[in-house]
Amino acid sequence: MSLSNLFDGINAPFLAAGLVLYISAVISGEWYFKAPGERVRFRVLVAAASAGSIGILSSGNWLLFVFFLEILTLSLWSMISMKEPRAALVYLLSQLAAAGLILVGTAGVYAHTGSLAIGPVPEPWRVFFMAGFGIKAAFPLLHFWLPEAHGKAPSPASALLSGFAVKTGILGLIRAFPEPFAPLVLIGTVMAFFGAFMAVFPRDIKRVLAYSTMSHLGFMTAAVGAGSGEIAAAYAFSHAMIKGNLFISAGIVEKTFGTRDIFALRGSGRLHFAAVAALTAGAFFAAGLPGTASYLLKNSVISSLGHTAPWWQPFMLTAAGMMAAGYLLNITAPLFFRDNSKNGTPKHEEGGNIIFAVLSVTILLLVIAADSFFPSILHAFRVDTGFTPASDKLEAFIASAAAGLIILLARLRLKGIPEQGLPDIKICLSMDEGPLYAFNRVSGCCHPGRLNTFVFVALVFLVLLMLTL
Amino acid sequence: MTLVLAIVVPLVAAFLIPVFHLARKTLPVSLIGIMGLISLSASMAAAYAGWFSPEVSLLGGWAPEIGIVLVADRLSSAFLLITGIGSGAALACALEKFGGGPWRFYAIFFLLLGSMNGILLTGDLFNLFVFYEIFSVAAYLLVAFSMSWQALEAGLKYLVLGTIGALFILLGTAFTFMATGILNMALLSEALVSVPRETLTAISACLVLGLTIKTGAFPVHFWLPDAHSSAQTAVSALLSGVLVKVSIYALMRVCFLFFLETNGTVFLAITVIGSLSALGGHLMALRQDDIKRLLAYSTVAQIGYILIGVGCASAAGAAAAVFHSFNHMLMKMGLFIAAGNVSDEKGTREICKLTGLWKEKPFWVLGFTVLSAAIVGIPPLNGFMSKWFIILSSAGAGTVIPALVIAAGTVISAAYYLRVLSAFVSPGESDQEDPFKSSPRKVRSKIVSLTIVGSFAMFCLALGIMAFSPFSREYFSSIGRTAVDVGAYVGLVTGR
Repeated sequence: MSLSNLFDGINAPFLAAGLVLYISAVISGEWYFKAPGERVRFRVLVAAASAGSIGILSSGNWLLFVFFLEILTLSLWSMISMKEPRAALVYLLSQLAAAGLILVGTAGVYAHTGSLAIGPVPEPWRVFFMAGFGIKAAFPLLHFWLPEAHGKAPSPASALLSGFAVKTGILGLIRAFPEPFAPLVLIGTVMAFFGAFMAVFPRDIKRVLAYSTMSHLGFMTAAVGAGSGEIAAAYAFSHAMIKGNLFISAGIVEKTFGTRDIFALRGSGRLHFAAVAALTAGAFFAAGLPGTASYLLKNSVISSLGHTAPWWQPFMLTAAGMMAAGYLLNITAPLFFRDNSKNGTPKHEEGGNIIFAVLSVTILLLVIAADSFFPSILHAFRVDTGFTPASDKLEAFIASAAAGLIILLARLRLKGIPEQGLPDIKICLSMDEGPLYAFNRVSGCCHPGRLNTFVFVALVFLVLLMLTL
Repeated sequence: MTLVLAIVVPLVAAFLIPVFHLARKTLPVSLIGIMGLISLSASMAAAYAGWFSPEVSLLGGWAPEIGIVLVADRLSSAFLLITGIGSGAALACALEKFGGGPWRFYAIFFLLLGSMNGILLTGDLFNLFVFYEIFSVAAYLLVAFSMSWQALEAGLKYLVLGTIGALFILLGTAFTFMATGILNMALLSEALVSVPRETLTAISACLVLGLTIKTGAFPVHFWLPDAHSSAQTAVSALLSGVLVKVSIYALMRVCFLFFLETNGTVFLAITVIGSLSALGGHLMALRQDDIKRLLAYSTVAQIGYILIGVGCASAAGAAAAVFHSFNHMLMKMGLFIAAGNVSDEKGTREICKLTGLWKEKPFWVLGFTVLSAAIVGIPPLNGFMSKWFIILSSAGAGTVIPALVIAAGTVISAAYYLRVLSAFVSPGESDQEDPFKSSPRKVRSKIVSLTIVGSFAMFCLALGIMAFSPFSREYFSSIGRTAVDVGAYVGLVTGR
């Protein structure tokens, strides 16, 4: 463990992202939480989380990496449980499972190589790191916790979750798989498309942003799989800034109008521009319009796949990038272009929002600057690829058209879809349903409490021992 | 001589208490306290002697073949330390709760202490069985001591099921004697090499089954939750924290000495039992509504972890098992004392009724929180490190499934401990109901118990951080190396 690791090439963007996010989370937390007790609790938790983050970035071995990951997890769990204990529980348990898997993998690597140092993982243990960091980075099917936690956490905590906590999964993947690794590209492309697709449907702003995070993580995973960790790190920085802005400004919108439902917020931008300005500006940058860092980075990811990738991989990534514009339009356009006067004006609370709007925009400025922060990394790709969105212009056009079609179809029948969007996989952690319920029933049979049962079990056990020993 | 004293002093105390009782109906607390201190210093002296230079005591000067041998090496010293700290804490809690009144309780307690030291120090298989019998009878009586019907039923169940366990230990001992004609463990470890394969199978099956029943591992754990949850707080803590560790020691000692070189599959069986135990214990703890039963099932699971460490059949695994035994003693004793005290005060053990405690008793809840975080394995507490060492040794032994079971266990245990903690911090009935309701019955403040819980929690934190330093890791690995070094043990006892 050494502080010099903090400024290592890959860690530096994560450190910069963490620095900006933690400061903005503290500032916005001061405004977001009204009760003094909550404010103090949030400050303490942010301090703990930032200590954990510094630990993660400065640790030189996997054990310490997991150690600090767990500290970060615990502080974020406590932050989420300030608002939604249920979602917080799901978050905590999934992250503990991830940490457990990484620990098992680390133990295996140690048994294999005799070293705990962070570095490439040898073959039989890769699956544990994939699964562990896969939960952290919300791989498809392992992502069950993400929409819940991101959507329901207090907004400053969502910003930290989406901005930094999930990026630790990407950081781990970069460290564990420095060489090109095809399964990650596959997972990444599927994930980017799946996240973008799921983000089209919900009406809850924060849920859209949560799925959008998943989509962007897919881009980063694909970059890691293609062996370009630097692009993934730069992408992580830019995405952290954008999501920090979007979640904090979604919090402002929620506090100002009392709802996150885009139907109820129709026309609110006309009433109170300052409250929605930051959200809109953030969405503009997140959508990956030309000239933003997002645009540049998405193209770099697609180019980094190279010419050997199957045709559908760049295609899906391009479509996912285009769909980002669609779903962000979905949550921002109604703020201005729909008249809500028939349903009565939304709840409207005047307050010192301007400062926070300004804060969010400042973060955005940093995003634009990110373009110039990492010129050396991106330079090669600019020259090589000449900025085509995909390897082939026609393909890019078809991908964009497909994305547009999906958005259009979704827009047409948006009314029939529940507020939380399409049904998603959920691991039920309650005792009344899901796998735990089944275990519960089975384990109920394991303790009958009768003497003859005990004697029977003991004798069967004896016979088994006799047979095996 | 020190080794003999560790057994004799508590036994003398156990016989003196009834004598004092003839003179005075209620014994002074200080008298029992002093007896406890003297007994525990005798144990600690034996532990100290054994730690720095392995010590053998041939009783009556007889040779190891025919006489009784007491042996103290680093493994037994480590467990002597565990039982010493644990019994001291349990005695302090009992003294605070009962005062000097129930002389029978203290007589049985000292009997138990003496027999535990006997199990930890003996170098003779039959002696092990004899001490086990004293130990078990004392434990049955302590469980049934409160004389409520639940306690009597649990005590009876423990008696019957424990006797079945003892029967198998005796059978194993008898088979061993029939096959070799000796009972000294050091000599047996050499003699068993030439025993026919089938006989060895019978011996190992009986001994492993008997000792597994005594440890309370999963398929034969039926007695444990009843006994641990129905007893008095101090006894529950003693049972879960100390008594099962003594059985773990016996299992480790017997298996490492007898089967490490002769029958390696025993360790595979122990690994399987451990994994089943960890999974089964956690899953059953998840469905408990009674806080002490939940803790008891959690003990089943933690025993599973320790057995996984033992099953690695390596120095690293043994060290991890001892480290986790020590940690589990601290964590589970603290949890039982905290849970017992808050549930006594609330008059119920149902988790959903233990509400509002954060307002009423913040220190107890704080202690419980730290200890449960430790047992779940949250860094930087000791549970994280001991689980890591077990996972590490399991992966080192080439088995991944037990390590995955431990990882899954962390998640399940977090779920059920959070359920308890969320009940503790949720607003209590007094916040919602009418203020004119009669106040709950006044209970004497339990400053000693609270101090024990607090210091155990601090200890957990300190151990978790210490485990990172190579210096303290070296201490624990030396225990593991002692445990698997059969040659050194044999040389120590036979003087060769």
